[in-house]
Amino acid sequence: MKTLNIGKDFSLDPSGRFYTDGEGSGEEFREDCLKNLIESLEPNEKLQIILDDGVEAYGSSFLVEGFAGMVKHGYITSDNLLDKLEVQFTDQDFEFYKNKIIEYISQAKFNSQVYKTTK
Amino acid sequence: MSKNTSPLESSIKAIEPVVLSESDFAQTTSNLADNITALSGDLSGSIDKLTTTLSSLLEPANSLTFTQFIFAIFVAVIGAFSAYLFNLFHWSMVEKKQKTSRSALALSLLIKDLETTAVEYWIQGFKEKKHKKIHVAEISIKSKIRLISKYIDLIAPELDTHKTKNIKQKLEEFRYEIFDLVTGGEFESKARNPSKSKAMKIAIRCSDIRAVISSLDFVV
Repeated sequence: MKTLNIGKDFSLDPSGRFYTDGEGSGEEFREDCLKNLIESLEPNEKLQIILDDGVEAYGSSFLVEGFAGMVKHGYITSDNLLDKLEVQFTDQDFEFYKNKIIEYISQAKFNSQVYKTTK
Repeated sequence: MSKNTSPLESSIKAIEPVVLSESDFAQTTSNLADNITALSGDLSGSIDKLTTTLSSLLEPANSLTFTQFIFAIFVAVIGAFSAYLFNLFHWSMVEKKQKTSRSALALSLLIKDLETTAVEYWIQGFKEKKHKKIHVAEISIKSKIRLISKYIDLIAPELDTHKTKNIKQKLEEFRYEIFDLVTGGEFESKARNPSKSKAMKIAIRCSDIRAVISSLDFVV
């Protein structure tokens, strides 16, 4: 099992949707972190995502772009992504964000948007 | 004197409206005095019996056995314990209601606060010269939504009754909806345009849920 600790491996202040919004955006998270790790997983291997190590809160724009964007841009189907992710947290407040991540991935339509970088 | 006739009756019957001789008068008077004395003795005996009976009633401990005494004590202790338990239950219910009421008030104030900040945020678009102020608003919005969610988690377990189930469901829906509404779209984006319609939706949704929360005072 691989681990992605958002606070330590990505940003302590994940915010915004696109690269143009500044550092730590959802697009940056998806393209530079999540996508590579998902693609590097062995069959049946899971990716553990730690939500709350140093991070205080998330916005919907970041979560939608970062997680649901994987499905919308055709990188992986929602069922497969949900199967590969294991979202972890120690602070119970973050269960809310876990539920939202699952909701966004479940509702995303596979390959419904062509990806154009905003870099 | 007959046993079926009282002494007084016999005495009255014995009086005859005739002229009595001196010796007869003396005899009759003597009989009457005897009868009055006998009646007084009977009355005195009855009063003695009544006094004895009343005395035995007024001093029950003297007539109680040890088992009866223990039973009386046991009943008294059970009664006192029941009263204590009832009191404890009553005050714990009162305290629980007050706690829920205080949390509901804090939640309502927090939602009002979020409404003010979020409406102000969405009524204006992103401007580089106001970058700092906008960043402060974004941090404030995210922290308030997290706190609102926490308060809802605190209150929700108290709202499992038949009367409050509906309110609990509305609160659960609200936290997910308001998160998408306030922090979705171009939130934290430099390309963010002002959105009066979004600001209006936020204000309506927040006012609506605050009205629901205020109804908690009447149902909990």
